[in-house]
Amino acid sequence: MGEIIMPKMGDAMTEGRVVRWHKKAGEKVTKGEALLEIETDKVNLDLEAEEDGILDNIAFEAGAVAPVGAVLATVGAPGAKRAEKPAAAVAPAAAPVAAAEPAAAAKKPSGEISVHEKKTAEQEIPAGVAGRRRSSPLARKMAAQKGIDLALVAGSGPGGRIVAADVERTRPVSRTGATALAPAPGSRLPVLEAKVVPLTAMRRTIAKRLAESIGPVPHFFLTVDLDVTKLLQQREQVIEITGVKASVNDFIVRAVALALRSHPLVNASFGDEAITLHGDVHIGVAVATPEGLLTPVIRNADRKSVTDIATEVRALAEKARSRKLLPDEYQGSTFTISNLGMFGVEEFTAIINPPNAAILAVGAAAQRPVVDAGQVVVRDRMKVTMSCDHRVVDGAVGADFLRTLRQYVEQPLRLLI
Amino acid sequence: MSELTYRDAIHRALVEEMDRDPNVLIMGEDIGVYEGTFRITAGLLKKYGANRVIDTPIAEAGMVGTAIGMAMLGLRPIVEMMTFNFALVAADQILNHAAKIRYFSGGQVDMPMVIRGPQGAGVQLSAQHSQSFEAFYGHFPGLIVATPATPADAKGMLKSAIRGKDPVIFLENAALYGMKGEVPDDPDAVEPFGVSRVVREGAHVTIVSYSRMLVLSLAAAAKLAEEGIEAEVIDLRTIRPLDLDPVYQSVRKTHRAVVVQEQWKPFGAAGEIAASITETVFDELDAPVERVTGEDVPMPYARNLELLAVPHEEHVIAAVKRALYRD
Repeated sequence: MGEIIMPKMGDAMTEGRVVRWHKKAGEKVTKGEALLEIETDKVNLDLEAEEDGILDNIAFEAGAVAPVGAVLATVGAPGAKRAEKPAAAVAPAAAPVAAAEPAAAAKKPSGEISVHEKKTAEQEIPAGVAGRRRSSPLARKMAAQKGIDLALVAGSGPGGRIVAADVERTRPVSRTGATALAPAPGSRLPVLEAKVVPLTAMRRTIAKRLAESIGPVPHFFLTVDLDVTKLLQQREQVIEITGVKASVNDFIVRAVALALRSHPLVNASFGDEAITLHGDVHIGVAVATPEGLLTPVIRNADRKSVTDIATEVRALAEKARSRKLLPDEYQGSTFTISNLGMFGVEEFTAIINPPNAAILAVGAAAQRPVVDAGQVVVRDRMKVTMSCDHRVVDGAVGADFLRTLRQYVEQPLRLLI
Repeated sequence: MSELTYRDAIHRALVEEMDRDPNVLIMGEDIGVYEGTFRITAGLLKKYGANRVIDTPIAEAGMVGTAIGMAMLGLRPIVEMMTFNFALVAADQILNHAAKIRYFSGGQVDMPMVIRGPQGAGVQLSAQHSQSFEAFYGHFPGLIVATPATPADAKGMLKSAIRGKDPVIFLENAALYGMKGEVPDDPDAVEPFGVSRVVREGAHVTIVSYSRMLVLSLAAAAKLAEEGIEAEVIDLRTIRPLDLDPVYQSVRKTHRAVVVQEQWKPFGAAGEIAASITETVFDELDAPVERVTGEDVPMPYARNLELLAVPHEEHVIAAVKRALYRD
């Protein structure tokens, strides 16, 4: 008899939620058939049967959260009953990661389960519209009337289509608060509802990791004002010559990656016993998705061209928005860049993404008057702020890194050679 | 009111209109001496004589052509097709002449004629004799296409057809001839064309149909009600003119629609209706408009296969559940 186990889909994963069972207890299943869908902190997956048999002993119904390694159900010969209750039922709800991992490995008999990327009809949509959520016309109309963001609504129809009933179940909630312009003062303001939004696994992970970061990690912040006049000109040329719409941020990714090569302490992680200097430069790029923040990773960004980075960032961001990102596409960063320039944010501070030692918060490029050789001239300027883990990066180390970064940004030819 | 069969309601309409207007006459195969294959014209030859009840040769094109000439000169001919499958022989007369003469004459010449007879699947009538033509005739401007589902409508609409000035394709359904229903006795009670009717109210889904499929849809609605699904059932009554306003109004309430027709799905009436719903009340739809239709094959003769080729109540129920995301 095979056990279906909550897999461990990444270092930070301690538990997963059962989204829905595709099969019922007592139903016959065949090898390769999807049994259930689980939600991990970053991605939704189908777990498949790897042998024929009868699905039984479902220990976690749809909606339940199961610790990594928990037995979710069994697949066995018809009539076969498990002697004891599935182990999951008694497993501690928040089993420590370290303990859960070997358990998962031990409980996973020879290929009882396999994890595949979820194959839904949605995935067959051409890349350009991969992030589109299906919804009925009525659902869209109702959502617009109620001020509901459809991206926050789970669809119960075929292929995940959002239907009217799904919108009815959802209460209006604004995630940004700024997207809808407030009515002019004196106009009749609608009464805003109070509401409780249950934490998704992803939101829970974001909260946990950021709290972990700001708590034990002693942050300090360094801001520099960079001249990006040349970089912006060069960007136009790159787009013209290659046809690849590289963003300013793609240039910054490249500049940071190259600068990190000269500053191994900034490309590092603090550990209880030692500091790890990573050597490899893997840049996490923060991407806003309807469910929250994801940081797909550009591996070896120091050895990739700006246009390669641009293409890769675009593809990963698209996957992030449609929740198709695989663990090895968002794990293992050594440094992270967060850019709110496109929202017009001039400067801000970001919270370090552990176990990185630093994060760079990039503001908007804008024309500003500056004094150059006694003359006031208009230049394109951009402010960046680095948050540093003081346990690894001292003030001077961080400042030195930013000086190198300035060289790359202000003499952008260096980024192309 | 009297309780009449659909057959007797049509018979009654013919008698009342022939009594009312001496210009009304009827012609067809075996309608006089033999009194009609479906006995619609029983007793008419004896009552009105051979000038007004004319037995014709088996020559549909000639029958319709003759009727067109009569109508142009002020008579009100009724042509009985033994079944509408035979009218295909007269398609040129119907589509190229009857439907277009008012238009060709700049409105100077009316075309007060009726072509009536049964259509649709029966019991082992095979591929040539089981067809439905409402979508075919409904395609052509210049025609009126009536598809009554009840004895009262059969009588009232046939009277409108006979009294009007347009060529009317009056599609009866042989399987409905024995159906009984309350029919007004008033010889001047007529039913207008192009007025659909809500025949059962419900909040959850709109079922649109006509002719015999209405009977099916009502039976399905009764079963669905046992499961707590309240279907609103609409009888279109005429395919041309097509009155979809009550359908749109209903879909605004139910947000789901199922259209039921007897024959083949491709280019059928259900497709036209579904497309119109989508065009007009797109934002009201919570599910794609479902179509219930016959199988896309020539009608089999074998009874077991024939039963598989036509829509049944359970198909309507299944379509409703798909539209409600309950399958």
